[in-house]
Order: sequence, then C-alpha cells, then structure tokens
Amino acid sequence: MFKKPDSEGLRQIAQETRASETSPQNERYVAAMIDNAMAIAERQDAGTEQIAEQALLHTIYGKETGADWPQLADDLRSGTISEDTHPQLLKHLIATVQQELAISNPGFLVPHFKA
Amino acid sequence: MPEELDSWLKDAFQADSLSVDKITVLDGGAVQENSALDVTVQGGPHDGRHRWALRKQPPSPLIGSWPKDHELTIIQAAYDAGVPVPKPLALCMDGSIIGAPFIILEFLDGFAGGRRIVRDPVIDDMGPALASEIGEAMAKLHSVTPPNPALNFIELGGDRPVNRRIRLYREQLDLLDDRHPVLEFVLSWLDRHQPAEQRYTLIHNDFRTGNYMIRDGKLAGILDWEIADWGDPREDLGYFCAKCWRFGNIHKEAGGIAPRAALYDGYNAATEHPVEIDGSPFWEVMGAMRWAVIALLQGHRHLSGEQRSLELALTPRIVPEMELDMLNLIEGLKS
Repeated sequence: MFKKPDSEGLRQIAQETRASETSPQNERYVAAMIDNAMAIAERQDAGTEQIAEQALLHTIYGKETGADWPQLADDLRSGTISEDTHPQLLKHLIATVQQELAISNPGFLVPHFKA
Repeated sequence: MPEELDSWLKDAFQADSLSVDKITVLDGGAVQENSALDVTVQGGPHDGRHRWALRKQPPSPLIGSWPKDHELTIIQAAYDAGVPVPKPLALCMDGSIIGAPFIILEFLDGFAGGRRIVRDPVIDDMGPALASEIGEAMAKLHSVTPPNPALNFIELGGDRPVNRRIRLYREQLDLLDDRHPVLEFVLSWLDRHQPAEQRYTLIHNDFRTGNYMIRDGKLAGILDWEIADWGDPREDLGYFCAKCWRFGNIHKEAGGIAPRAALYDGYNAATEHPVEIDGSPFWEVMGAMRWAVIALLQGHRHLSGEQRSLELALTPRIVPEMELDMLNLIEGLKS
C-alpha cells in the first residue's frame, strides 16, 4: 500500500505550493519538491497495480479470503504471522517495498556508489 | 515584536539597555523555527555586542518533542556533562512576547547541512577525526544517567530500553490512519533479537549528520535536542550510522563522513562502558525505524490538516527507503 497522500493529494499540495510565495533562498529547493511530487503522482497513476502486495497476501492467507494490509499488520504485531510460520515472508516484504520504491524513488533501487 | 523582545531580553540579561539590531531567520528544517539575533547590550554582566540563537516553539511540534523549558534543561544537562552544545542562556515561556515560548542560546559559527557536510572536501581528510570527536561527545552525553532530579520530567517506566522504545513506536504508529506491515515485521524482529544486556542513559535521540555543526572540519556543537530521551546509548550510535543518514556517502558508515570504526573508537576512548561494533546492525535497524516512524508522523501533520506543507506531504514517501534498508540488514544478518 503506497504511503499517503495519494497522487491527487500530492498534486494538490504541489499546486498550492507553486501558487504561494517562496523566499528567494528557498526557490530551488521548493521547485525541486514540486517536481518530485508531480513525478511521484505521475508514476503512481501510470502503474497502480500493487502486484507484490497481492502476492504476499495470497501467499499468507490464500486467495479469495479478503485479507488485507491492516490484517497483515495486526498479525505481524501479534506474532500470528512470522518467518517461522512463513519462511518466504521477508522475501515477499522486500518485493512490496521495491514496488513502492519504483513509484516514490526509482533511483534508490539502482545500486549507488560514491568513490 | 522587536520592542517586546528587546524589553524582555533587557530584563533577562540584566542590562541597562538592549537592542536587537538584526534578526536573521535560519533554516530550521520542517519543524523548528530558529533565528540569529545580533544584539547590543549596555550594562550588566553581558555588556557588549553578541550574536545569539533564538529557538521558538513551532506551531505544531512533532509528537514527543519537549516544550522549550524542558529542552533548555536537557541542553543544560548536556552542557554540564561536557558535550559541545550551544551554551543555554535564557528561557521565555510567555507566549505573548513573540507569539510562542522560546529559548536563547549562544550562536555557533559553522554549518550543519548534511549534504553539504558529506560533500565538503575537508571531510575526506578530516572525517575520521570528526567522527571520533562526535563519538567522544556522545560518550559524554551518555555519562548522564537516571535517576537525575533535573531530568525527572522524562518518564522511564519499568521496561528495558528496547522494549520501551518498541512500545512507543507502536503507540505512535497507532496514531496514523494507515497500517504499515513492514514496520510491524521489523518491530517484531527487534523484539525477538534485542541484546540481553541493555542500560539507560540520556540519549539525544536524533543524533545524526545534519544535527551537528562543523567549522573548519571540526565539531562545533550538537543541535536539536527537542526529542532527547532515556534510552540505550547504542541507539544514538546506530542512528548516527543508519544508511538513511549517510546522505549518499553510503560507504562511510558513520554518518557519511567516516568508517564506522572511527565513531566507535572515539566513543570507546571516552566512556567507561565500551560498546561492541559487531552489534551495530541491530542498532542501525533501530535507527532506521526511528526515522521511518518520525517521517510518518511528520506526514500525518500534513494529512490531518494540522500543518499543510509540501515538505511534510513528501516525507512519508521516503519511508520505503528505510524499510528496504532495514529488511536488507535483517536479511544480511541471516547469512
């Protein structure tokens, strides 16, 4: 599940910010934030299918059970679901995070090295 | 505001007369409101020209942050322990002077921006020495332990430090509208893998590159004490080394400025309670968790309408970066 605000919420606050006054010293920073918000919104609208999340829920609960993200959170906190009960859990969680990063910051998925 | 402020400062600093000649708004990040005051004092113990820092209570402070009177007490405790911090000078809890309570601190020359620090050419040569200085400063801070009458407003509870922290994070996550399975998985992992030996000290709780100032490549002072707490001292070390606070210099594990060992060596040389560098991954997971929870809380301030802000709205979108760092660390510990 992608973090909120959703794409519409991001566009809205980006447009509000663009229309408001910015101090000269912050202009570049604010412009970069606006560009980032619009780019995230665009990527999110272009690929809304959350395949990894569904795969994780199906693996744990089976198909057609209606189990959702909040239930998984509850079960992970209580210990009902863990790596002991589902050895592939960590691998699936990594896949869901990578899917979310592909929207919020694709550059983070590219190994980055600085000499 | 200037006249009321002049008058209040004149009384607080026992001056015959005092004028604020210039106010410069400083970059305080998404939460804090900081200004530099250029002041001329005539008479009394502070006679002369000064530059002071004014930290004003923000309109919607981060959950868990201290009011200004407590923040000043914590800075004083750190100062008394020999930690390089801006010297605390005065407290005003009267919201009518400038619209909110504030504290006055000695102004430190230097800069604190994380990206600027890790890219500063002097860091290649001076980074290890700087990390060692930071380790020494942390060790001095961690020499402050409970019980401490001046700090009795910081609740301790009966839990061990890691249990207490996990409970606090879960309570904070429960304030949010959405649920976060990856963070729940990691919190359960932290619960099961916590070290047997733990102890409480005063911790900064946001000790990272970006929250200290440097001047000529050397440590000038530690900033931003508003969420200091009792905790295990290794929380500060882990947070400092967490990948999310290396500003892209990921191979310099100590805050993007030096190898991890430089920080730990500086720390261990200045403490009676040396810490093992081998335990660092657990505490770096704890550190990434802290920033993930803070980032979600900051986003909540925007989402709830408490403070509409593009910067706050974007902050939750960096949480998956911490989530991946934590999961990778956990996976790495299995092999």
